[in-house]
Amino acid sequence: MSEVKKNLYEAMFLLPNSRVNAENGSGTAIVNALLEKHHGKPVKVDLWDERKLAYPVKDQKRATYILAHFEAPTDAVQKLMHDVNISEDILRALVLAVPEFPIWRTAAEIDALRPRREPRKREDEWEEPGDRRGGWRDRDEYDTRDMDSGSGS
Amino acid sequence: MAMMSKQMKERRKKKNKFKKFAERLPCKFCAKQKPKVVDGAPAPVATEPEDKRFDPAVGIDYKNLDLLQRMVTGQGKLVSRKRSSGCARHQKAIKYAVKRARFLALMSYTG
Repeated sequence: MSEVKKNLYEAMFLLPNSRVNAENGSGTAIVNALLEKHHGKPVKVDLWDERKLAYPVKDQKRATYILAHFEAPTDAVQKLMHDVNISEDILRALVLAVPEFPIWRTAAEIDALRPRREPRKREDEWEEPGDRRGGWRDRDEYDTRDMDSGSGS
Repeated sequence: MAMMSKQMKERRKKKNKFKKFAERLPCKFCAKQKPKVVDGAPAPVATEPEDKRFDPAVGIDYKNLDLLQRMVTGQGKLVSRKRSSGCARHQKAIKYAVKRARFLALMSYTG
């Protein structure tokens, strides 16, 4: 009965760039420390992307995204979110319970998977420029038989 | 009178053309329906989704921004089921994905 039920979680943490440096492994150490504090077992915590935000969050225009896969007891997430809201190291966090971990992909890897279209050909682009310049009059095989017979009778 | 009746017939044809309720398209994200297996026939080939720009390896997820950007209007509103896909399950998945992406400032709430 004393067994604590554990769940799998996928979480995204938003860190301000001012708190991210090489010393804390581009912010992964902050997230790892937070997870371990709440008896979570980090499976994979790594940088997802560093990008411009769609709207400013706490006066930050850019931020670092860290994606974490971890295992934790069921009551840990509530306490974890409490710490996130207090902490100045983390702007925001989204924690989702997942039945199983999805494949770990960075933003660049997801973008690379995107099926791309072939570039559309512009209408004003000429296949062979100069081919038909001057219209049909310049053609060598210009047949005048129709015109002669038409005006005859 | 004969002319009139012809015109009337044409009008009626036009009316039938634009039915009040358009036929529903199949869901873009669902896999194509598998052909019925006849005894002795070879197994059906693996199916792929209707939308060629949708990558099932990534799925409908808040991190799949290329997909989500196509699922909102220029003003950032969710597009209707008519335009996005055909089925309830995937429309709901899109809804949650967009809302999660908005919360993480990956997408904007407004245009």
